[in-house]
Amino acid sequence: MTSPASSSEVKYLIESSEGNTFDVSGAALRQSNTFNAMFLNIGADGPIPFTDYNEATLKKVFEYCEHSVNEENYSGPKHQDDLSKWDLNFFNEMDQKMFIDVINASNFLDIERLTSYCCERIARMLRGKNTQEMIKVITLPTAEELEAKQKVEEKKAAAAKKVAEKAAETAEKTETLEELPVQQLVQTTRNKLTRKYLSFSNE
Amino acid sequence: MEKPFPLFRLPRIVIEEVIRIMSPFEIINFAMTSLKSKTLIKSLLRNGRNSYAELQLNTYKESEISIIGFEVYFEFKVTSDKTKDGMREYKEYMETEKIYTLWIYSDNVLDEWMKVVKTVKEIFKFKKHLVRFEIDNFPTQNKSIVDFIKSLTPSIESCEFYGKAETDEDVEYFLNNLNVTEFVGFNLKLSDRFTFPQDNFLECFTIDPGNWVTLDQLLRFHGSEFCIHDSPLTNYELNLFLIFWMTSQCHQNLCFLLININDPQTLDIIFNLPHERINPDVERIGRLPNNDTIPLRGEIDIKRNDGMTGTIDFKWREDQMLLQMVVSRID
Repeated sequence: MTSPASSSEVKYLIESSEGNTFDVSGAALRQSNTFNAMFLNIGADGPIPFTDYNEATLKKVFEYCEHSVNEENYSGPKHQDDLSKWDLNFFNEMDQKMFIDVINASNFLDIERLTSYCCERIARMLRGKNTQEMIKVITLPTAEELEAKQKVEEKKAAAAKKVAEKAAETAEKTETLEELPVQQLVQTTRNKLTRKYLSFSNE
Repeated sequence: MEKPFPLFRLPRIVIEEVIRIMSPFEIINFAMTSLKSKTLIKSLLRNGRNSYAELQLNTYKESEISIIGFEVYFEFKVTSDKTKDGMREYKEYMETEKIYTLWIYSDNVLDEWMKVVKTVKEIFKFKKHLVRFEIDNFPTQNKSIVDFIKSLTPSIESCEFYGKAETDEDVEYFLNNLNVTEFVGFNLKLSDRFTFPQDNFLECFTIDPGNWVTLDQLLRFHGSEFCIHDSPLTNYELNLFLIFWMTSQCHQNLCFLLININDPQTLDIIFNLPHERINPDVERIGRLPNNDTIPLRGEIDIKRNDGMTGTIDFKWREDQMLLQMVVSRID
């Protein structure tokens, strides 16, 4: 049923949070970097579980992917004004909840083009607005949300620090050739050559 | 999407992308929506993409905050004219520089200006700061403007003073409280008793009018470029200044001097020192202290005791004669 073959005819089964499954073409799925990293080369034995997202959201996301299969390779964000009629309809027919679900799913699946258009659409909501107008357009985070977000950031920073410390420790222990100053490197090479030459002539 | 959009519930990477698409105007307005938004913006922008070449703060009637990037200017103007609120303008200058301007209305221009400046300083990083201080616009609040800038940055690279009030106090207060490191421009009338209070090295001084620039004052400046108009210096004092320079007793780092001559009839007093008149047909190449080269044609050379050459010529600005000296090494 699923295979790592690259033909666009190949269909993959996707499983949603409701446990429902549906088909998506390989060509559409390959727009997801997450899919590419996880399944493209090894294939999948059963339905691919994207169970954090409901069926409606996943279908919407893959509807976009199916539509843009034949578009040129993604080369950075397009201005909203350059979107096609189909693209505009695609976004306009979503309510806010669906739009947010689509952004989250697109972000998880790492579909650059869709994520980027969604971001552009959000930025457009704020474009040309002053502070008071922005306050009406966006929901400001509550203290709890802010705290939770900060905690996540702190955790990430602590983890990154740990990794950096470990890397620094390893680097201290390992003296690589690249780190030697050029003159020292030249000298080392000369010494090696001299030794080689001497041992050769001794023989 | 009529309901307010819960932007902050989206993944960080998405919010970052949205912020990346925004112009500095929107980022500033957004950061000013709440303290929480500002905190988030600060944490999101911490990893770069928030650095600009220069921040210019102008206390004009329409007080300005200009964020200068690479060939792109974002000017935020705070105005007391309600009809201009939200007005935007786009200009191109010399076909390379793009200038975006946004006006915001406030019935208290200075308060709003300070609010925006504070936000801008908190969320963006700047390599340089320039303050254009117009002393007439908020005369009773000049000291608080200085205190405010000092609370954001103890030193600035450049400042320019403008005004007609003929008062030294606010300028002195500014220079006593804010350390200027590269450029000072005086474009206002100060009293004859004014003394420049800083003794650190500055790259450039422009002083117009320089009614307060006595010989003693000139000798105390530490800098490499000077443009001084309307100074009371006599030709005899200019002669003394040049002799001090030739004997390395002052201004070792002088690269350029432009100063008015009060008595064009007695130029021989200035040149009562060893000098050499160069044939105007002779073109030479001088190497400037920064290692750039400059073509020199004719003029009058004076030599410093370390071999550096001061090449002097004269110019006119309206009815005022100016002495110009370029310092270079001529081999």
